[in-house]
Amino acid sequence: MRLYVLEAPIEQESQVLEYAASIAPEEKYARIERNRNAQIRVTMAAGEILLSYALQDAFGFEADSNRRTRLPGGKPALCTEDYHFNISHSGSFVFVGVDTAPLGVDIQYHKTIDDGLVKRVLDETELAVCRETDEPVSFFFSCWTKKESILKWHGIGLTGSLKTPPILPENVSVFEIAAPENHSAAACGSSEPVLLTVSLEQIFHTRLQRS
Amino acid sequence: MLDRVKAIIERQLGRGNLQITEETDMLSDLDINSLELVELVCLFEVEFDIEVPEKDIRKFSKVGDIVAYLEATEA
Repeated sequence: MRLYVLEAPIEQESQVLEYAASIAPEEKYARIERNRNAQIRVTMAAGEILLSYALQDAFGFEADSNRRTRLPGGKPALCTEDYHFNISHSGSFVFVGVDTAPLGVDIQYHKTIDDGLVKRVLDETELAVCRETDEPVSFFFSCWTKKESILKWHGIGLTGSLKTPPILPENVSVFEIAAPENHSAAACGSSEPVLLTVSLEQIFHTRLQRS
Repeated sequence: MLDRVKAIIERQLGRGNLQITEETDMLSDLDINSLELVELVCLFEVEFDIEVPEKDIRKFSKVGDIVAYLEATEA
């Protein structure tokens, strides 16, 4: 399971959108363009760019729009069962995972949490730990990202339970991933994760070399 | 009810003047993520003094679903 993390600062919006326009499915790009929040536009667009980079890096091909589809539960996928991807973004960071088997990834920046949210997401054991720890926010988002990655592996999103996510097959595990400061990240899949931090400069340079 | 729901959504997302109708899809039109959706549910619970069971969150696909749900709980 190859994981890629990328920071997409808002200052690079025009470059990022221009590149994303050339590779993203039309419907996806239209959605990006109409979002009124500049940071969300940039990270959504960067997600398309990072996915393209990741597939090329890991498997030697790009996910052009003809190769993209959605599974019955709405999970974005490639038009082949041989390769799989998952994307997550939070704040200015994008997190993409690619593998030859289904996977789920999640990244989340640490924002303020309240008791209602904590009680909704954590089970009793986790709640007890959260109340005792010196870093409850960090602990909460560690739990959140792990549970989200499981639901995304299953491709069921919030139709699944956060408090008690569905059981995973024996060969599938959840991995806590080293995340940028004030973020948590996790990945769920059937192979050991390898994490690569990528920069926009690196991706643009690679694009130039290939063209 | 739509206006109340819209105000809560705009406040939570920190984005004003969102073009929200009952047909607005929570995830694909508003681009909210799972965390924001769960936070919204928590806000609705406080605002309307209700409890939303986990199984009911999956019904919140469009804003209209939320409006209908809240109207039903108020009835």
